Amino acid sequence: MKLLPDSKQPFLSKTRIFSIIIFLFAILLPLVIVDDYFRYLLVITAINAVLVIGLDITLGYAGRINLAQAGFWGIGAYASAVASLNWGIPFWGGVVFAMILSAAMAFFIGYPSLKLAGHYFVIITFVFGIILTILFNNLLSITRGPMGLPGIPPVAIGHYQIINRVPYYYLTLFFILLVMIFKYKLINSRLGRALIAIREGEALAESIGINTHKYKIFAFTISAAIAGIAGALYAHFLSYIGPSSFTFEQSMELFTMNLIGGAGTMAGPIIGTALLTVFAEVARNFSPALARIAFGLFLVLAIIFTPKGIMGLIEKVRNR
Amino acid sequence: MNSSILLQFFINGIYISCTYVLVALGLSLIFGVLDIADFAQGALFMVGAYICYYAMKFLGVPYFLSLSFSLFFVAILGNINNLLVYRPLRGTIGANTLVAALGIFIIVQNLGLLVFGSEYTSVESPFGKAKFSFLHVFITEHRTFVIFATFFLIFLTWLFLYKTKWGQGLRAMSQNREAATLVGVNIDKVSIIAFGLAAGLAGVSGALIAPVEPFTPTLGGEVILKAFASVVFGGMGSLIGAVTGAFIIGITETVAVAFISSAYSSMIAFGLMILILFIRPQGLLGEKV
Repeated sequence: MKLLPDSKQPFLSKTRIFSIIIFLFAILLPLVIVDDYFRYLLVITAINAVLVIGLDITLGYAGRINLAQAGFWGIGAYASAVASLNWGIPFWGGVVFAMILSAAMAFFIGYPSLKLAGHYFVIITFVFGIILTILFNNLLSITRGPMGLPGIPPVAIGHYQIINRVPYYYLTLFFILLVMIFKYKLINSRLGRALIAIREGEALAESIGINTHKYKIFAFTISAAIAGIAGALYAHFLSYIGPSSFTFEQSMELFTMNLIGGAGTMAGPIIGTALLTVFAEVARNFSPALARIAFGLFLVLAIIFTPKGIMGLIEKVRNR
Repeated sequence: MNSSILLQFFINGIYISCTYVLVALGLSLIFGVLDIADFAQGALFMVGAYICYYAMKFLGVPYFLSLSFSLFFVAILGNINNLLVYRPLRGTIGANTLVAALGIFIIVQNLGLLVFGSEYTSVESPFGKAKFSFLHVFITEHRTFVIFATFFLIFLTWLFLYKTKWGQGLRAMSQNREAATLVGVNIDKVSIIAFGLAAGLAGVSGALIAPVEPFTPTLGGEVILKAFASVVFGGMGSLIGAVTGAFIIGITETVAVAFISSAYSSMIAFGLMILILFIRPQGLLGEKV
């Protein structure tokens, strides 16, 4: 598997043309999808894509399993909801506040736990996710507990309010584009190469002078900040948030999307999210328990048979 | 605060600990021998409770006999997980098996919701609703039975591990895998015994507490989290650590809940766990990180 895309490529390289085609396809999607429910799904998929792209920086590049992504998403959602409901801060301020708060929490959790070897980081993120769910349910004065926060105002650009689904989809697409460009720049920088070195062998990375602890914290914090963006997008899209969205099960689903799409690639998180979000939503309407069983099976089978996901399979076929 | 209230807290704490100490013991055993953090044990605990219920309802067996049904069938179920999932994953990084274990937990818990239904199920205790009282402290007879049976099972596990050849193999594997393999301990056999023992304990533990309160297939979630916290607190892979951890967490939790809200009861367990990870990552009685 190729570790890095070539840093010196012609302006219209194959990958670049391919990315542009995919992006145009994403822009044209709402023209084909006219059903209201499927347009809702489109926005949810796009928000999940932001989450999984963020998660991939920890999982795919720093090589650490993070089971708190939905928790950070929740922090972002509550942060921007509270900012707009209680303090009258508009969406754009709320996004920044959400990013800062999620990132700060990640730093606080990551700093001590990323010092510990292997198992412990997964455990701490897992437990932290559950603690957050308990807090969302019980910090009544901030979150109103299981009743949730209704009436979150829509996003406004000047005097124009984004209420319909299609423009909201484009708003989310704009953020996906930003996050993708950021991630691309990141992994092609010195910092990204350091992260990949850590993933491939922490001891070796340490021996050539990489401060692995610092870089791992950085990756984890960035992942959480991106989850914060997704949280703000989610809160202002649904105009209502409750604790049942940001559970540990959701973190597991995001992890499964990342793994099945292909961790440590640009396209993998998008492919995994698109396939599995639509599957999850449709299956959930049919039977929530069956949907969760299917997700569990996908996860276990992916770990056993294709730890590199769909992108790994594509790579294999190409190299044959 | 008078002493009988303190004593009541203490007894309640012991009982709470007994609901997850056996799962903690099994987790620690599997972790020590195979380096797997097997979250699926929580779901097996739930299955144990349901096997007890169905054995009593459809086969008409008495409660005490149905305990052995739970032990036996859940031990088999644990080994199915072992052979289907954990064996193919042997040799990959531990974090992968941990996530696979969470996947199995989700699969089994939701299969439970489909097969057993999401309504509350209750099992009748052979002791009825009888209570003991001494020194102004109250405890139901069934809870007393749970406490004694749990201590007895811990004692049996200790006998097995320290006085039998199979137990010796298990402990050898846990202390040094390479050396144990060199002197002829077979990892496949050991893993079957370890999973059978751990899952059997989880199953019988579920059956023990089944009559205490009505339950649903989500029963195992809180149990596995607290068992897991106990194992990390006591030191992953240390059996005495897991048992000690479970009792410290159970008693602390009971006392704390009396002062704060019960909504935060699992946060006490997690708080203790995270605290110990930062102060002493190898756990209270653990030896290595």
